[in-house]
Amino acid sequence: MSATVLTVDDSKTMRQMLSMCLSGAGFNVVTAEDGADGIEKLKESEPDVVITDINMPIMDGFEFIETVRGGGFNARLPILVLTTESDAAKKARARDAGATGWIVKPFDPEKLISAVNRVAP
Amino acid sequence: MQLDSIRETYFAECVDQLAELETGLFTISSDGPDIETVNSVFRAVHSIKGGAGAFALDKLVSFAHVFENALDVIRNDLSQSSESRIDLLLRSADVLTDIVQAAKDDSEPVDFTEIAAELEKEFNLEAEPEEEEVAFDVVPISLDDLEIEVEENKNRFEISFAPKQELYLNGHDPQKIFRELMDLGECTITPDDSRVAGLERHDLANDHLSWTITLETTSLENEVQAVFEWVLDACELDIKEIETGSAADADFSIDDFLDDVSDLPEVEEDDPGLAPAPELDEGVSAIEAISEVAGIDDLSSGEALAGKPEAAPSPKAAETKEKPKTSKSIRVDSEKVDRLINLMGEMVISQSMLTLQVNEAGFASASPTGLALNELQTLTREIQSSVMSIRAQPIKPVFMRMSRVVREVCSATGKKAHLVLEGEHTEVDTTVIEGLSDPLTHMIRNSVDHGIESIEDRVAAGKPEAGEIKLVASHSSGKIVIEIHDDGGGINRDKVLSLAIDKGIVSPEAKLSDEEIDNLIFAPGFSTADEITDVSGRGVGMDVVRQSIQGLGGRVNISSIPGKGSVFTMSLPLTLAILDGMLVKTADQMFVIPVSSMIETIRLKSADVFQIGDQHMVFKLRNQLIPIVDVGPELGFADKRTQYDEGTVLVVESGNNSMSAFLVDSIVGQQQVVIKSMESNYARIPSIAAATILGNGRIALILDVEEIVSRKVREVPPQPVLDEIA
Amino acid sequence: MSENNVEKEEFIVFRVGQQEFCVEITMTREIRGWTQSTTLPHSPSFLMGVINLRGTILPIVNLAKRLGLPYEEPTERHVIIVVQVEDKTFGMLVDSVSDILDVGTENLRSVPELDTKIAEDFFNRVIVLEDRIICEIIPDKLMPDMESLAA
Repeated sequence: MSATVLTVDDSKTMRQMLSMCLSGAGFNVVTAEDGADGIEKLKESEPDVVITDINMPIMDGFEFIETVRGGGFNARLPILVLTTESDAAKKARARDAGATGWIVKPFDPEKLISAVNRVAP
Repeated sequence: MQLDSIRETYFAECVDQLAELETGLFTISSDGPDIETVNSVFRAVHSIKGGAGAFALDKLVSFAHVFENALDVIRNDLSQSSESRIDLLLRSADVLTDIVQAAKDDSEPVDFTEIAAELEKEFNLEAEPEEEEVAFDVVPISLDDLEIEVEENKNRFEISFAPKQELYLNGHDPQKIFRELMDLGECTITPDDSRVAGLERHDLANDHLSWTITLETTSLENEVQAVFEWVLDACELDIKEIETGSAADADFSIDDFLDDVSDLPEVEEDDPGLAPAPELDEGVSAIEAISEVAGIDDLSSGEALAGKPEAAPSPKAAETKEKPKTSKSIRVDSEKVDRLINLMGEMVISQSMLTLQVNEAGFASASPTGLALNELQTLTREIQSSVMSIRAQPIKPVFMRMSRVVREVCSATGKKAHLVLEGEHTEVDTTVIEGLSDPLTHMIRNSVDHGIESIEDRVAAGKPEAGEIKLVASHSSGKIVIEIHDDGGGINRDKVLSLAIDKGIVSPEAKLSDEEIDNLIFAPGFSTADEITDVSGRGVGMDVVRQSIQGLGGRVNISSIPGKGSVFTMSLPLTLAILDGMLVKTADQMFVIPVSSMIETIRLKSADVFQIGDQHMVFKLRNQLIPIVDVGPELGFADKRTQYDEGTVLVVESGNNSMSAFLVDSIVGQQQVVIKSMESNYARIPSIAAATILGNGRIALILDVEEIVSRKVREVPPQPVLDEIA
Repeated sequence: MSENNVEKEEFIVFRVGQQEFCVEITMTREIRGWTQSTTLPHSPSFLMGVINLRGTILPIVNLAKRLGLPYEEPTERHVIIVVQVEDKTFGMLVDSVSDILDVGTENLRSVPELDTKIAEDFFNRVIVLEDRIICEIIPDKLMPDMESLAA
């Protein structure tokens, strides 16, 4: 059975891009529009990997990760952060929040897939 | 192709983001910065940039990047916000809008070097150094070298890898890292459990397995390093390149390792992050110890929670649940809504047809049939207004666009002005919103260009340097009313009147009220090329503005107080889908006259009709003389009347408050009609606003009262005074 | 064009007065009987007016008038051929529909040089059969020029 990836991004464009790339590589894709929605979807779909944006309304990526790591979810769920910033502080903060890794936007589809494969079961 | 449709999504989203950006900046400029708004503004630019990157829209990315950095300055410290900075950001938003548009149309790229430089200077942004990715650039090597390397130069690394607890907590799994290393080359992985203490002395933060890995690979050190990219801070890592010599002192091969993994499914289940140690009793106990530690995780894992539903969720999770759902909404294809509105229109038609026939059949209104019909009528009305409200939207986005117009005209004329909005949440049908943008733009341009005085003049008049343009929207008796106030010099009536006389718009003898003089600026041919400045010009006079507003079924007029400013007032229908119409018959054809423009209806008596000149007929209503518009001949459907003793007069008022008497053969009745565009399959026809379909399936034309009157006015000398013919 | 003439085009053939004309079937949407139209003011005389086609306003061109042929007042026997040109749909009033023809390219000729503006303006090609000649109408050209109309 192919792995399920949950993508959390407020931009429809990014959601579509991610879905296209991931489903093209054989992953099942579930999408969410912000952190809070992501939490809901996480409960519903029990994904194998999560990819989340940082800058989102309602609940941003950091808070989302902290919430997931805070308990109630698969503790070893890999969470990848999508970020346009090459900013080290951002990455460090994501890591402190509990992110597994990061993908730099704009992403190259191949790199995206390899990043997901890196952490997928 | 799918990518094209995503591109479409992207640009559609850009429109929303740009609106969000402008609204946010506008709010900041009027109410000062608050972190919420600054964040949303930042996010908008950020999203635009993110998507642009995906489509390799480099120019857009690079400008959005500078923009984002500037916003970041304010985001990090709200006190960094200042009027001039926000103004610059607003202008940058305009440029960003243009760049997005250019990218969308694939047209001539917009030059933004100047404004980008301005942003960098104003916000003290450092010119961007080369991207840090440079560090990862692959050193180009020739094919020959490559072959040699592949053949002979295997690198050998000794990696010591000691994960910290954080590594596991962040969802990493040493196994997956090993998997990647194995992809690079041949691995020998040796676990080291020396740091895993016994149960009684274990230390949560430090007791983990560590590994020594030897890797034989053609990859370079940075590629090996890259495998650990995500865990660098979560482990102790040492990668040493060692001289290629004997095949190392590996005592544990990867195959054995994997065998062992499969032997220990339980541990794998519980926490594969804690990789099993092979052999050794001590090792097994270590695993148990760690599993205990991992119990913390188990407590919070999904299964555990399901088993113990009372387990308190973390405060964060609870908080999330409590977050109020922002007004629940669903996205619906606008075509579906349009279709619903069309069908609703058909229903209104059928209902009025039914009413007609029931009445004709002689049912009393108190009869069961009459009552049921009445009920149906009420329901129809309610459904209609509910359906229309689906498509209703706040007028705010259009208003927001005006702030750019104000800025542009200011910078072109060297004036200062700011825009103030009121009632921008007033809702109106999208069709009206779409039609409103152009005329509003022209009026705002006009207000700044002709209304607001130069800075010197304002100061001399004791006014603040910056003028104020206030846009106000409100609902009033089933219409939306939009006012544009300016605190400029008002209309120079002497100048307007003399211009109008020069141009033959009014006769020199005409006595006009102040209001009438003010409204002369809407007269066709009033603003001509030589008065049109670069700014308000663009070839459009106020007469065109009035026409387009009338095209929307609305009216516009101006009132002005010299020295204090002017107010344009527009009133528009809330929807362009339905109209209250008076069904009339003339020249054997049915027409609809919008009830909104009617004042009264009167049966024609020949005694009330007078002739002025050789062909102009006027109707005497009380002591007013109103020019007659005989609808049949006016449209070319009938010959001019010889007798004025039959028919009905509808007194209509047009935008500039002048009245006309529309003469028809008979009035059929008042009913709601669904507006059907003539343009969708044909073209705009003079004198006709639109068409509608009657209960019997036939088409009736809806008269464009304003246009007919304004054309008539050009032929007839304005406002003859009663005693002139007495 | 392929050499063996397997390419065929389908045309709908109709009568106006004594003559036969046709349009490519791909341009036609439907054929319906004549219903009373609503006359439009300030419109050319060949534009009969508008009718209600399932809730949309459909302008009707009187083809006989448009082509300068003798015409009679429409009756119930007259037919409207609804055609679509780009995003506009309109009707052509004709006397009757006579045929639907599959025509091979060998039977399609270009319009001969005629000393008439009509042919140049409205005809695309001519179908030449043994006993019939059918001019192909270009529907795009039938509607009045919108810009001159607005002026």
